[in-house]
Parts: sequence; structure tokens; C-alpha cells
Amino acid sequence: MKPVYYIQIEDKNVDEGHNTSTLAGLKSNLDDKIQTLVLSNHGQDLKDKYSKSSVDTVIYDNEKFGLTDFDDIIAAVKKFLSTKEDYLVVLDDSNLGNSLASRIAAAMNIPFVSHVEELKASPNSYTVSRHIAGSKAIRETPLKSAAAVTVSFNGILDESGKAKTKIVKWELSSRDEYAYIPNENSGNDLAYAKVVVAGGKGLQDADGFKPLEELADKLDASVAATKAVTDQGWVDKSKMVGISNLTISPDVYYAFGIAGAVQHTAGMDKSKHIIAVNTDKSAPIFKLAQYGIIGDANKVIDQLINLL
Amino acid sequence: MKIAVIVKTDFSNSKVYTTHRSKVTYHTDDLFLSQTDKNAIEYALQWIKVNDGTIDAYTFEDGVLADRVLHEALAMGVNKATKITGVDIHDPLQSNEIATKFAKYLKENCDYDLILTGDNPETDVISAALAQKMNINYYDHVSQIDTSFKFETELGKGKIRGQFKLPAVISVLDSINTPHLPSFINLRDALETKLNIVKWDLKHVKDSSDIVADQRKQKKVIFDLSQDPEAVKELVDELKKDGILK
Repeated sequence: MKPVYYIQIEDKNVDEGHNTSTLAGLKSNLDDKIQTLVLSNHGQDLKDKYSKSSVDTVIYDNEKFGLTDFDDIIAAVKKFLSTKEDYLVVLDDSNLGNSLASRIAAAMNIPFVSHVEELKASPNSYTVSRHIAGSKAIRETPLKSAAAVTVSFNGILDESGKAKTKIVKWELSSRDEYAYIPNENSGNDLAYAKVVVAGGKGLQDADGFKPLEELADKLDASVAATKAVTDQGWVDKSKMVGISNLTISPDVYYAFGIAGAVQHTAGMDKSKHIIAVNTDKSAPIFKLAQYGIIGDANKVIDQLINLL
Repeated sequence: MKIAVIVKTDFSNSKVYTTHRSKVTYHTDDLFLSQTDKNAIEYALQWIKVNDGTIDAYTFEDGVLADRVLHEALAMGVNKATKITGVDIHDPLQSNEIATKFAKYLKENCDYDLILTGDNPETDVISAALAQKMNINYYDHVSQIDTSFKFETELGKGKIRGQFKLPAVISVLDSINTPHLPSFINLRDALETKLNIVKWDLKHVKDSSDIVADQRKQKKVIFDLSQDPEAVKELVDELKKDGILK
């Protein structure tokens, strides 16, 4: 199997460019063949985080680096790959990931496949696939030589591991004057989360949300709630999903103790996978859910925390 | 000012490909010039209004779709339209070869200050490669842009703001402007305009993508905790098996 290099951007002033759930998803698919390359301005602070990831990591570090230094990122990745012949470069499926991956592919003169949903490995090649424009048709692309892809995987990183982490000092070239401006609601992770754990009145009281937050930590997820919950003041209103606030479409949406009123489901029914837990087997949420448990949401949350 | 606009159909419609068992059918009836390409043309028209110049449209679409999008582009005010045949712009394995040949063609035939295209996740793979082969600047996911070189690129939780430099390849989002609707007279004239045709042969590119039907049935796995004390463990195993939890 050819080696896989996963590229992460770690700018201490910007909250995007890095995603441990994709790394965990890749690791479970590819096991030992993956290595992380991090472009950073605070390498020493990251050493512990990446050594626990169980994936060998090289951190290119320069304190003056910023996320907008695309030319320096491409030059560093090109230098890193220059001694390697056959590989797969992987970035997150986001605007930033797709921008960088297309530039890396262009600089290395290799094919680029964006929005990959499935990655199958065989001894000398990979086959990547994705649905076309939300239809039931799939484009399958065999990658027999070096290539770049962007993927959206979910997983939980086993932080008990130990991996080699090397920090490399990195020279930046003369840089363009670009500014990064955060969006107004960029502080609310829920709007961008790939995994969401949501609670409804079935959690019974504000204390029921503490285990949910613990589960969210385990799943690297954001916590959401229904309007009934935020109206009670159990959770902040910014976490409300539904027609009165946020409409989201994460990869995975866990609904605990949520019946599935249309006011709520209008804000989450575009989620890729919906997992519902409710005591009422006739609750409308089960019509949307692909997976679920009929049972007490609080008990299921406790058991999930113990299992994960 | 010489501007090229690479135009294509709006491929985001889920009805373009339909499947029945293992058979995939491709429908072209609902495919027209993409919204973001209309935005790109509108922006090009703003430039030549300020600085004079010409706008040429190119497409890599096939057959009737190429004629359709180019006629729409001409009706909006593009001066010349060229279709390039013999390629599959949707196949990522052809993108580098297409970018190489197109860069060579543009260098030999015209010297553009600005190459614009509408942002489209299904067909955007050649823009970066084209800029690289032509050794010019590249800006993508551009959500705001004006004719005084200011631009904004849309990222996930924020945006990059700056000044762009020409020559450049720029892919734009539909937030940059509101395109005008062409008049019936312009549409009629566009339909009578002759299109340039450039024929390429990419048969030497041996590998290609396949389009197959997704025959997996939507799963529904619901456990009952009162009947099955191991329900939570079984749910976790099921999620891991299906790649939702890794």
C-alpha cells in the first residue's frame, strides 16, 4: 500500500485547518501507512497533541507563519514530497482543504479528486469514490500513481498512543499581505461541526446535559438542543437547532430524547447520518433516523460514554 | 483588457444522473449555463465597461451542452465562443492533461489578463492546474470582488481579504454580483453566431473514472433497549461497521 500524507494547518490565531476526527477516520482505514504533516506557528505546543495521535508527525514550524500564506504551504509540502515517488496526499474536505489540495496537485502535477466519500486501498493503488451532485450515481476513480484527495471522515482518535513527532524549522518566503477575517458566528462551533450530539426534553433537566457534553468530548462533537430545551434555559439559545435558529447538515447527528417535531427537524434533516434515541418508538424522529435505540436517552448516553 | 471565461453547465442538479438497479442514465434536458458562470461573465462585463477590452468564452462540455452554454454566454455579452471537444472535464484523471493543453493553446493563441470561471465542486479541478501551467496567480472560492483588485475568499469559519494581481485565474461564487438577464434579441442573435471548434484527442490518457449506480439500500437499524440489554454495544458495533464511527 502506498503511503498517505495527511496535511494539517495549525495557526494559533485561526480556528480552522485542523481536524482530528478526519485523522482518526483515516487511521482506522489505513493503519500504519499514514503520516501527518503539520504547517504551524506554534510547533512546541502541538508536539504533545500529535504524539498522542498514534500517527507519526512532522511539524514545520515558524512563528511568523499564518494560514493565509498559501505559497509557503505549497512550497513546504512540495519540498516534503520531493523525495517521495508514489503517495496519496489527503486534506480535509472544506473550502480551505480543497483550495490547498488543488494547488498542491497542480504544483506536483498529480491528479486531484475532491469531496471523496470512500477510499479503498489495494496493494498498489487506491480507488476513491463519491456521489455525483447528490444523486445515486457514484464516480469511482482509480489512483494508480501519486494523487491528492480531500475527504470527510469521522472517527475518535485514540489518545493513549505514542507516535514519533519531529519539529522542523521552516523558512518563509516574502509573503503577500492577506488578512484572515473570522465570520461573525465563527465562535459557535455548532454551525460548522461534522458531528453533533443534540438533546431534547427527554433528558429531563439541565443536569442531563452534563453527560451529553462528556459524550460530545469523546466524539469530538458539538452539543445542540431543541427549542423546548433552550426555552427552559437548560442550554444557551445559540445551541438551538431548528427553524428559529440554526440549520445545519453535519455528517453525523445524534438525537437524544428528541421526539422530532418539524420545528426541530427542519434544522437538521439534511444530516448525512441520523442516530435517534427515544423512549417512544412512534416518535417522528425514527422516520428520519437510519440508526436508533428505543430506550431512555440518559441511560444510553451513560453506556456510550463507557463504551467509547 | 482581454478576459476569458470558462463556462459549463450547472451540475449540482441531482436529477442529471438517475439510476435503476445497475444502470445509470445521464439527462441533459435540465442542464444550462451555471449560475456562477453567469456571475463570472457579469464581472467580466463590468471590467470591460471600465477598461475596454474583449471577453472570450470557452467550454469543455460535450455536444448539445457545449452549444447551449456558449449561446447563453454570447447572449449575455461575450464576444467570441469556443468549444473544445474530445475531453471529459468531469474526469479528475484528465484534468492535468486538459490544463496542460489549454495553457499551451492560450499561450499560442491569445494572451489573457484574466481567466474567470464559476466555482463548481464537480468540475473545478482544472483551474489551479491551469494557473500553475501558465505561471499566473490563482484565487478560488472568491465571494466578493471589484474592479479595483480587492477580493475576499470564502473559507469555513472566515474569509481571506486582500488585493489580487493580474494575470490571474479566478473562480467566483454567486455572491459576487447579480447577473443581468439577456434580452430575446440577444438570445436570437447568439443562436445565429458561429462557434469556434477546437478538437483534441486524449486517448493516450489510459486510466479513467467510472460512473456506477449506488445499489446499497438505505439501512434502518433500530434496537430496543428493553428487549436487548446489549443494544448500545450493538449500535456502536453497527456504526463502526458502516464507517460512521471509527
